[in-house]
Amino acid sequence: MEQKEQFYYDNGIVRLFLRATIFWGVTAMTIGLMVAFLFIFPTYMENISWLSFGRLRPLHTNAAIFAFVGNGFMLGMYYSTQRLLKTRMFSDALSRINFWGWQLVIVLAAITLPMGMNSSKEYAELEWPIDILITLVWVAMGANLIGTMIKRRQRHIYVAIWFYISTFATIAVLHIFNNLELPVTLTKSYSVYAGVQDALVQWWYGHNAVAFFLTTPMLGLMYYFVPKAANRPVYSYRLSIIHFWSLIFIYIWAGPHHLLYTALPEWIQNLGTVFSVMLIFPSWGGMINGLLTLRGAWDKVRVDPVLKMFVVAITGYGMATFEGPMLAFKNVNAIAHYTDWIIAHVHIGTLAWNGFIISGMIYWLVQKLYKTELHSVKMANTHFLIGTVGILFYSIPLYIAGFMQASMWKEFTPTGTLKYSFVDTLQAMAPMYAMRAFGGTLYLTGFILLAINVYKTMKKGSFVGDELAEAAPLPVVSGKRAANEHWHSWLERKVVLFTILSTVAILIGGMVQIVPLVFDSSQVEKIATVKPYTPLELEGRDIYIREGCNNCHSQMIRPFRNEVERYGEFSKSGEFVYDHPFLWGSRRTGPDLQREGAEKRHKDNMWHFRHLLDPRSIETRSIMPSYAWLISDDLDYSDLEAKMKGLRKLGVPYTDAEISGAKTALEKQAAGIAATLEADSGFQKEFVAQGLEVKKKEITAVIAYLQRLGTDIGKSK
Amino acid sequence: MSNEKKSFWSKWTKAHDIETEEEILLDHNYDGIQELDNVLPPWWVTGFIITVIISIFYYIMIFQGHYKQEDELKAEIAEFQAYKKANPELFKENYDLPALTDAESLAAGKAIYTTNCAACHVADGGGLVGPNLTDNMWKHGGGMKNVFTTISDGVPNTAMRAWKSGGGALTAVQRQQVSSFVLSLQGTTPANPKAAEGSVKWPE
Repeated sequence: MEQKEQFYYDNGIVRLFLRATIFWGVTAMTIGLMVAFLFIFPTYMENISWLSFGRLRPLHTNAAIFAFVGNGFMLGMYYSTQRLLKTRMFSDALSRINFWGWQLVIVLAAITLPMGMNSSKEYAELEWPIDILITLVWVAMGANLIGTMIKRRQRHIYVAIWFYISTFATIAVLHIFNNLELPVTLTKSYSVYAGVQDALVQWWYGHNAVAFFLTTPMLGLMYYFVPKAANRPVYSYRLSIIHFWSLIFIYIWAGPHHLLYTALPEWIQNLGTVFSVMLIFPSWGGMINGLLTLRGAWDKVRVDPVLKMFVVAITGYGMATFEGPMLAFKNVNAIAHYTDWIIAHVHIGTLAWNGFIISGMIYWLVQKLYKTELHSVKMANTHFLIGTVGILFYSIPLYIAGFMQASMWKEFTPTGTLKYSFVDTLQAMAPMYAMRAFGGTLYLTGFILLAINVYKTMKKGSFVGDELAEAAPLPVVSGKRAANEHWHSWLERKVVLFTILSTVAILIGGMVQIVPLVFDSSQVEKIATVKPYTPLELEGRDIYIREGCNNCHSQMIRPFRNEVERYGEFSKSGEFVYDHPFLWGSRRTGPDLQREGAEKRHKDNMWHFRHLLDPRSIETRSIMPSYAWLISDDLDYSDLEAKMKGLRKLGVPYTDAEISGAKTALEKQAAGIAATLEADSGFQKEFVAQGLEVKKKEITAVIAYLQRLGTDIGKSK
Repeated sequence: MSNEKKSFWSKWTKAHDIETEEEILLDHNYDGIQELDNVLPPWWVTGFIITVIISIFYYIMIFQGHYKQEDELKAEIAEFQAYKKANPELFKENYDLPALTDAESLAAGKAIYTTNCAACHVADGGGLVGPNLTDNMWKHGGGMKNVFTTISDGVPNTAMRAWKSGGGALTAVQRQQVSSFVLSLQGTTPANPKAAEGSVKWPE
């Protein structure tokens, strides 16, 4: 035992992730701000297709989640894992593959998402080749983590590592199963699941990406950096055990609370609700273990920006994880869903919990890595202050906006009509959007202060890439549990078993919900009149996905009188059986479109043409982007047959004749739409005389798709 | 902190006294991080158990009660029907309202027109997506009753929505005002008139 071995911690990899975290943090927040300003000045980037809202919004969420928080997690993980296991990482090569591979993924995302290459599924928008790359990089990270555990010099693995293991295993499972898709071309694929099944798998993923990419890794960081920075022992080891296992087991069941009042079978919806309620205390276990670790260090919290940030982060975590279960109650969800309430909720999570734990960690780490004091504590305190105020300015107006919009949506006049048009509700929120953008500006400014502070600290310090350390080698002991050994203590030295058990814990909930829905055909009702899309409609739907229309327009009418009045008959699960992927959306910045082509919502082709060309020419208060490029660009349907064949493999009953005649059918339908437009004398003068051959343009496909929406069900009556 | 307060707090957390925390300090040492063996806070355990019990009850009761979310819509509609029955005067639709000619009503009508109609019919009535309203050719009949009906009920399968219902619907008085304003456009000269549509000449 006395014989100590010398080895070197790899600080080089930590520094790489440190730089990347700060760089991508600034980038993600800047894009967020660009998007926030579109709500106030909808035309300031007009007619630049790759800067339209539908394409930037996925870029913002992906950058914030995977680029900023992802790099932040890896930064803390690579630093703490080596020290907690008393060894260098298993493989320097894997560490670098992890780093550069992850940056490559981000750069590819930053290129492809603005180009409109996306699979539409939230936080999983990247197309299949990048999905494969993510899987490889993620497995490299996991192999490195597990390899490091195996060669460790510390008998037991600490709670931070438990959370890292769970993060690795669960994200791998979620990513792979949610992104099962059939490639059609290099940049286009269709989800193997359709409609309601796709929705469930997506929100099993979406919810648990929040859980296992934005929560468990951050808890792991908290368990290392909070006691380190406060120099206090962790409050309760037992609480760590209980809340870790209950958290990961219960979390995975809660996904369906994103689909309350939808066409998802109700037994699954209700499981989402009850497991969300049961999740409150496992989540709070992490919060109280974090906050109570600061017992006896509160005098330090008052002066140390690192600890201040940790306190706000953990408090934000506690707030968000209480609010989440409240939002999972059907009666609360009925108000909050589709509104900005949800946007406020998630930003408490990202700005306070993720953003501040990462910022606090960076301030602490840069001093350790560069063996010096922080360039300016005052500046860090300023960051803390304006960041906190920024969070308040961001979230409070959006909470109000969400509640207000939901109330306006459902307000009826005494004569039984809806009091407000959709755009009335949007207009009412304009001041809140301005305040939100102000809050976001403050938060970004604070983070830029961090970047400057860190840069200056790096300048004055001296970095040691390979840090000398020593520890005694681990003597071999029996793998069997010793007589007086606590079972969990035993498990903490059986790392492979630990990994397997934590994976089993997260598989159960998902399987109970997903397997019956995917394989039991009685779960989805059958509607005989629901038919596959025509070739032109299919191309239109793919353009709808490309433009990210689903980021603002839902296609899921809930069974409420006000929604039925505004949008038509509520949605049925059987209506979506040919939708690969589903396009239910999660936020209504614009009205629901599920029945856009049907009675109540129907408009003629000319209306759609002019509205897509310039929404403000039809509704002056609209904040929708204009889509002039749909009118100037020719429709490319060269992959049509491949698309239809692909969909047929997934169960869409296209016949051979339909596929071989697809191009002709497409051209005919496009010509028909063009003819209705060209019949108008104003259109002749304004467009045909200028040489526009509208039948060749993308807009015919989009109009065809919009006119089809919601019409199948009417035929059954 | 007063003694009373402290005892209340410690009863709820059962946290070990910080002064004597060495007694419960575990022999763990992870890169200098140690762990205390504080018991689970009783409030936390109680809360956890309560949420589990609530959840089980909720789930069972939902099935026992044969609750269906669709029933909420049915109840909402039934409630509205009852209200409608109790207040028939609010739902009497009169399509025989006279055209208004006073300046105040026409101004009100113009304001409604500008907000709701000008997008398709243009501010001066010249027409764009919708037909020209200044000529005397009509697709669905001219005159007060026809115009009021078209505005109230809309035209199926066109962008002309029904203004008596749906989001941002207009009251009967508002529809009367805007119909009157539309009729007042007859014979005016718009900047970019759309060619006449419709087969009904009104007045003959």
